[in-house]
Amino acid sequence: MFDLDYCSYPDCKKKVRTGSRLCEDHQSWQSVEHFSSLMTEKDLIGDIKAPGLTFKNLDLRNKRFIDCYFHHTQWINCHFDRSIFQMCFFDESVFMDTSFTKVNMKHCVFTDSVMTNIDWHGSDLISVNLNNIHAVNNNFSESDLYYSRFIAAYLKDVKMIDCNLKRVDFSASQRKGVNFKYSNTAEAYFDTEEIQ
Amino acid sequence: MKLFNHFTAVGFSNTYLIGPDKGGDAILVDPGTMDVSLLKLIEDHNYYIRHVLITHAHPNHFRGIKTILKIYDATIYSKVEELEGISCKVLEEGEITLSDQKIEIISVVGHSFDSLVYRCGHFFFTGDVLSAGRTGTTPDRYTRALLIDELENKLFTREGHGILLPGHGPPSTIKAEKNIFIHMNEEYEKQNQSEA
Repeated sequence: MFDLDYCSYPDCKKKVRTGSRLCEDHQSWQSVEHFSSLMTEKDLIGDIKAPGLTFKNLDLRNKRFIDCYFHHTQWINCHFDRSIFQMCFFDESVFMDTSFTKVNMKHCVFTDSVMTNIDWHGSDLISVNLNNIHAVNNNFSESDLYYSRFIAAYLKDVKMIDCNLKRVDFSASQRKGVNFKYSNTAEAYFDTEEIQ
Repeated sequence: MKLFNHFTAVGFSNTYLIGPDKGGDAILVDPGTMDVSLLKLIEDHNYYIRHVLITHAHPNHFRGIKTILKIYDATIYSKVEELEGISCKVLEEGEITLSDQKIEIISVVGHSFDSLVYRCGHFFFTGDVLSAGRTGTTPDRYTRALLIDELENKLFTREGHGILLPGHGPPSTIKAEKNIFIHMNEEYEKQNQSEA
């Protein structure tokens, strides 16, 4: 039985065609080119809503993202290094070969996202929702993950070397090849053993 | 409408500030503490706190009201008549309009008898009844069943794009919480069956 998907635009209840995430009302003006140029040209990216789009090869270093809604997006080979994020939603998104090194992120949402080959090295990820993510080959080393949540996350070949894990919640997570060397795991919450 | 999140390490709680775009009368949700940075946030945006919404009568959600009332002539709204000697306007399920904002009041008991969820647009201020990946704590299995029933009937039936802003931890979405809740609840039931 097939699923009927609704338009990803907030509060729109129209159904979408196969292969599209937006209904015809919202597809026409919400182009990738429009949002790509908007984000690369401005330093402050505030209150933009761009659900359901695929972004490739973007240089978004040293930007400020505030109150942005990127639900159900795809980011391939994009670079957000040294950027600041506040209250941004990237839920149900796909990230590939993308870097978030030395970012400062607070109260952001990545729940249900798939993350492959992502570099978060040296970042402050404070109170970030990473629940139910599927992360393979991610590097969080030397990051502050204070009060973030990885509940029910699948983490494979993930580096968390020398991280602050105070109040980080790994409940019901599946972990394989996660390296916690030098991190304060005693201050994090675990209820499952690592998969061998 | 603008929305701001203020985190305080005292009680590890979130306070939310809702106000018009260009300053004026504003609403505070769950001021667990009133510190200099929250005051600065209010004043920098030219807000005057006219209304304070309390999700439930636990001190880490209302401890700041005494200080707020020394600065602003605000009305405190709660499900109880009094909070540490301060009288409140008692709320029941329904809808009210505060500073031109329509607020829906949803009673969700279980974590406490007086827990209220406030909906403003597509934002749900859930206090302690639901946070990212976690349902509220309950004293026993009976109240847990009650809380789950309330969440399933009153929150998980809502539009999935609804944004959940809890009293503690990062934000989330209704859809994400519904998905993770099904998984976590199955695990909880399995654990309880094996213990029995």
